[in-house]
Amino acid sequence: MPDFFSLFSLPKNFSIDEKELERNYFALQRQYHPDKFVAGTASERIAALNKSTEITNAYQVLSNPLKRAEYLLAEHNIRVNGENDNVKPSHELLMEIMEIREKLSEAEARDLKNLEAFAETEIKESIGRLAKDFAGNELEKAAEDAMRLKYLTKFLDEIKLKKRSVRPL
Amino acid sequence: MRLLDIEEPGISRKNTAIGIDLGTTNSLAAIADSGVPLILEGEGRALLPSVVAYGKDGKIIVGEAAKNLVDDKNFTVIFSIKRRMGDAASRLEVWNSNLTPVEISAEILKALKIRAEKALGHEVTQGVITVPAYFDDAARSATKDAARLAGLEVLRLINEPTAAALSYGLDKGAEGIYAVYDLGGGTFDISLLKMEKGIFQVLATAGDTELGGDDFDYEIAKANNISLHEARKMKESLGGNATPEFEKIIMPYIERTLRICEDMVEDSGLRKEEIKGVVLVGGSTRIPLIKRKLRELFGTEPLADIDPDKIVALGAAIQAEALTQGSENLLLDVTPLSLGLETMGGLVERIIQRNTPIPVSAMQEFTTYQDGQSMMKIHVVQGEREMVNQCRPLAEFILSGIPPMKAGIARIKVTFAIDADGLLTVSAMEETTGAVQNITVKPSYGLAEEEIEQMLRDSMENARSDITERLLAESRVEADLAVKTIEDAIRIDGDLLQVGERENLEERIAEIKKLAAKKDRDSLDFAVAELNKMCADFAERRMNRSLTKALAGKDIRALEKKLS
Repeated sequence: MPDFFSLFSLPKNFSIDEKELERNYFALQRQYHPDKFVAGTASERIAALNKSTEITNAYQVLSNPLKRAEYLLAEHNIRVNGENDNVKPSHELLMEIMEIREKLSEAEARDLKNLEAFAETEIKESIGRLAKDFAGNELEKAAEDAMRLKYLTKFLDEIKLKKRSVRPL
Repeated sequence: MRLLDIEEPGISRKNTAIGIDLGTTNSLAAIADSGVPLILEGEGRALLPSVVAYGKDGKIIVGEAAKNLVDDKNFTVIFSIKRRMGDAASRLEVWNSNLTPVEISAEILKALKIRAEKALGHEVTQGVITVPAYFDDAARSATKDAARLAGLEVLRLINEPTAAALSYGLDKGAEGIYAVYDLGGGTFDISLLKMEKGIFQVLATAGDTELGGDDFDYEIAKANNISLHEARKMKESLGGNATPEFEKIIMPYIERTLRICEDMVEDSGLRKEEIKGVVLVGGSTRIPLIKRKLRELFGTEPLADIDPDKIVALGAAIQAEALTQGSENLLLDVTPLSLGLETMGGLVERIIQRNTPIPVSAMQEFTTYQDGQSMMKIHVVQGEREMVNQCRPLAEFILSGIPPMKAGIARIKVTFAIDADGLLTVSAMEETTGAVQNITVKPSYGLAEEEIEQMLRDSMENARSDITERLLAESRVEADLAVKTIEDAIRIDGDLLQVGERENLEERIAEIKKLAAKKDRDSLDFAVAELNKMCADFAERRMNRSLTKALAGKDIRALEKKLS
């Protein structure tokens, strides 16, 4: 399995040129998408499906900052995701997240918009921190900030769900 | 560039691939020539009502004539069969025989095929068929089965809003982000697309497969105490002049569609202001209230410059031509619903999130929870809810043959793969012991391969010829073609084969040649499928070589420029 970054002709960095990623994603799909091989042989069609799937899978990872961070960390055998994780969030991070979650459970319908804006700002901030962490090769910090980003992303989803549940019909 | 593109102007080539909009209320066929699509009419009409009448005497009538048989006691008339496509195993009792939605839809497709052949003066064998973006896996498979029963090879299933965007985008040269609001007879879809430089990228899609113009008829009938048939006539007679009473009746439905729009925009992470326009699709969007409400929501005048009844079929025809004759354009679609597995306590573990671009795959690892456990149940569901019983069951299968070991040691990898038609394949394997078991499941609620074959057998056209002989002959042609292509490839690019690969291929080819002389079609088909799978990596290396040759010295960006 080739490295996702080299698949898209990108240097292996957390900070990437998103426009260039998208451009190269389109260029690769133009070559390999199954639509281009409808008239091909059966093995060409299978090959195109496999290759196009691989391109989509890699794009899904690189175009999402959290997944991109997890991918880079996994290369150093640092796993922050799922049941196989080998790094845990710090006490400070857990406290911070608990405080934020409390805000959501206490929030009234009119508070949700502010809370959403807060989560969005914090998410941007986490991504900025990750860029610095990876640039300075501070992987422990990167792991902590990746976990922070993960909690915040989940938090934002929950705010959106709550917003929908209180919406007047 | 393909040779066909530089053919002499004026000499029309035989394009056998059509675009089909298989609608709840009406269906259409269209064909494209050099990117310009045209509706194929029948008896001077563009729309073929999706109505099938079954006569007591075995006669089958489709379309306008079928609609007029509603009150005829010698006919059973079926409307809106598309609403049942997701329930492919359901049966409708018609004159003592049980018909599936697949068989009934096949009659509509056959009628469209005949209509297209009459209009074109030659045979039509292939098609691109549109489905609501929000159709689940069952309904998609059923649509493909219906086409096969009607004698049409499905080149691709494409989503209705995507087809509409293709038609609109190419015709108007639109660039930027557009929403496509598609309110058909039985389904509602909303999609967000980014169109630029020949790329049609779906960003998000949402909808409701049980909301459409049919509901308006039902409400009108209820409010006025009249029949559905009369209600439909009443609605059509209103034309553009909706009464306040009518608007009040349909308002709750319209509000529901608007909420779905809002949620989708929010989920996509975009702001409403970033959406350049809203393209209208489906006859129901002629209702002024809908236009007014959409203008309020998106702050722009909805776009209806292409007939909302025809836009989907026109887009399908453009795609059918693109797939068979080559095109610079590319559609990148998404999967509309999340896919997951049942875990402990009836909870759903999501494996692929909705709005993920396709084709895509995802892998999840599981383990055993008992010592010596040799089997594991895998239950696949589709939907957005937390609990399994609130989602749509897709497939259930048992992975057996797990070697005996302590609990938690086995590593069972379950892979979900969604192809370019939006159809799912699930495979599972246990790989701790190196004894890899690989199985592929097709969704279990649909029709089995044998059932489809039986239907083909039963259908009028095939009754006369011996279908077994014909299918065997087809398999032999298929096998012969596969072997020849691969032998050629080995001759030309044999140096790309890895150690042992050539021997494996040659062995398999020899086996196929032997099988082709026998009469065991299943074994032959299986061996050919295996050969094609074995060759996929080799084919990819060949594809890469020809690309490298074509692009020697150019980087990926030069390629992008060349293509756009």
